[in-house]
Amino acid sequence: MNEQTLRWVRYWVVLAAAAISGAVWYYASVAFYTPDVDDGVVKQDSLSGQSFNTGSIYNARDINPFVPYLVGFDALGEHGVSSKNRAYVQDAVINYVLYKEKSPNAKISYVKDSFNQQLPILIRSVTYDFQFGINDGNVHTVEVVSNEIDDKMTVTIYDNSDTRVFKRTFTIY
Amino acid sequence: MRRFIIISAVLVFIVSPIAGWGLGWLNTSRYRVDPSTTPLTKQAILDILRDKNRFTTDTDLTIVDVASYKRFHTWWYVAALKVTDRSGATSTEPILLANFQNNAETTEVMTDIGPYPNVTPSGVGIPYEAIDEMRKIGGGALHE
Repeated sequence: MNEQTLRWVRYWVVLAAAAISGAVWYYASVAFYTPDVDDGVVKQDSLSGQSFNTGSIYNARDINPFVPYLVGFDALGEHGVSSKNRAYVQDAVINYVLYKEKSPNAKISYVKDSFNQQLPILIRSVTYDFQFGINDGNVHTVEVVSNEIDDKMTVTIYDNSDTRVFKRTFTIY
Repeated sequence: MRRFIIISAVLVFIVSPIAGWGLGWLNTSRYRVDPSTTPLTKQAILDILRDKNRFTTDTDLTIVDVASYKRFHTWWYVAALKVTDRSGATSTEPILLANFQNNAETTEVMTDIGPYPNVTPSGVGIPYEAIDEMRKIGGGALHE
């Protein structure tokens, strides 16, 4: 092998080593920055006890690719919460998790058996509370007070030290 | 030969790892809540509305200009649009846009122009600050 050929071999070896090094660090970076969720695996949610598809956490978003994914909130309907009421509550929880907790693509789980309905203070008013967790922990309590007479509902969220972290009153249409 | 070894070592152990890590970081930016997106400009918002064919709507309103706009939580924009109706009367109406991919071309126009856009409960994370801003522009004529 003459000197020139040897030089080219050295160049190619260095380029190959650089490419391999770059690829290794690329995949290490992707693994480091990608949240620990496998696509398309059915798992049981630890807080709600319901099954969910892990891929759905990233794939179910038509418009906002960062919006959190809700698991187990069907339980509210089973406790008699109307779909409209539930939609407002879920929207408030999503807003809180995304912008106050700054947790994109989070899994928000209804905490099993946490629903508690209080006796109505006024006729045609509904007051209930329940808990949700963020990414299998960080449990919060939601208190909902709604009144069908004036079509108002107030959603209040408390963190795990019982500090109020979110409150908003909605007019229901 | 010594120079070759030094350059090779720098390439393999410094340049490639930095480039690889950086590319991985860029490729996973969608998982971060505050990617460094370039804010949309007033002209970009006008262009988006023109491209998305929102200059004429079912409400027969025609956009004259973007009077002002505000950005919320990186991705969301509320613009106050100066519009005219068929009679030529001018009013200011809100519109909501979302830019998730740092790309004006993929910006979503979330609401129609005109009174009573129904934006909540959206379930897609429209920030309440943006809704309050829309209500302010629309004079309270906003469904929530």
